[in-house]
Amino acid sequence: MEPARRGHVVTEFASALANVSAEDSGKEYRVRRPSVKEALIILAVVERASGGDWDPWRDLKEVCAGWLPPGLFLSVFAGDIPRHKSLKFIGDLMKRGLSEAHEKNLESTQKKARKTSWREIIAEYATAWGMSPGEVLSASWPVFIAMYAEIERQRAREQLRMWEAVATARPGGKIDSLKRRADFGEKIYESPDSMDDDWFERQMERARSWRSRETNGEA
Amino acid sequence: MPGQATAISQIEALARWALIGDPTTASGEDMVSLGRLPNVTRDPSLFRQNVLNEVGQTLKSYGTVMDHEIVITMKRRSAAILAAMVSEYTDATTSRSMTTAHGELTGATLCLVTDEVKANGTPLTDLTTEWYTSVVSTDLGAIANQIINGDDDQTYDVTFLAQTVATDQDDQSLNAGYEQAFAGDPADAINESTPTAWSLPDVGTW
Repeated sequence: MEPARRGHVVTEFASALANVSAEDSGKEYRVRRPSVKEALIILAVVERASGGDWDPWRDLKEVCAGWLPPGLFLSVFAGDIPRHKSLKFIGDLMKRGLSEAHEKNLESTQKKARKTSWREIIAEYATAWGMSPGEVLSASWPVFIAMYAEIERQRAREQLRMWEAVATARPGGKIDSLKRRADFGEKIYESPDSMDDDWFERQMERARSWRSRETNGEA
Repeated sequence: MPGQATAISQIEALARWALIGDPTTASGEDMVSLGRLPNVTRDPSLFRQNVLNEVGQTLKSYGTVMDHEIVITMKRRSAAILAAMVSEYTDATTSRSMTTAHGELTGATLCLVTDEVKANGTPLTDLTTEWYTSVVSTDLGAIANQIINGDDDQTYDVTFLAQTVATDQDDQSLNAGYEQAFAGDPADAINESTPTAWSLPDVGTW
């Protein structure tokens, strides 16, 4: 599927994936996007997380039973299908519908989760968008991944506004780093100290001309 | 009976590009560009007076915009350009000096422009462009002294007060509401049967 381009309808916000085919029968099903909670359990199984009495395969089947249409569920988890094949199908299905940009966001979010935890990411998301943790866990997984990336951009823009209000803009340094993170793109933010000498001399001539008019009473 | 008078400050602090001078002369030649100022604070200093009845209920309020106060923060080159507009400061290229007289700039038109207008090459008639028809600043001597004696990395602050004037610098009458500050197209400011439009500098020359 061609990734969604900026300015076009973003596929993450569509309510369902279409044309998911069962591997054995080839029959097509319409599957809704997984919720954040469903996706996190699936990811934990895919990444072979373990701990205590947790039975990952049982939880995976329970999540998929609630997520997939019954026909597709039975097809994926039929007794003679090797577990690794079922797991691969589910893992690939989860990534479908994410644009190329948001696949990268997913990778970086997973990387962050390995360093901190998914609890911290969910708490950060909930605080940023004014949601309860429960609401976040019920949210659509592709939307969660897409909007989590926006938090960083919005924060950078807010910080940039504060910095421009109270700080002096120096070429390079924190302001330029914030502008890149805020995705302000290629805009002109040169201070006069970095503008060329011709510009400076032109303005100085105009300033002297103004002064001469004022002094001679021509204004 | 009159009630409490309150002064309401609505300060906005943002980076802006600035031009100052006379926009009525040909091709904006007398509009001096100060370049990009990292911080510009504008305070319209609203004044409100409430009229109360005997039991303290507000019957009506009235008020006015007092003189806009604009504080600009500049880097060194911007400050040198602004100081060169003041007769008390002299830049002889190989030396700079100032008299002991008071450094004052009066009657200039100040124009503040956003980064987006500059980046996109939009004309200065854009709705986000702010105009202060006549500004006065009395503290330019201080920055002139700083330029002479200061180091390259410091910043310079100058305060302008926006005056209310009846005419522009070409003696054309101004419409009500445009005599102190307005945003957008200066053509709307002029109240003449055959107006002479302000001649704004071309994109890329400021």
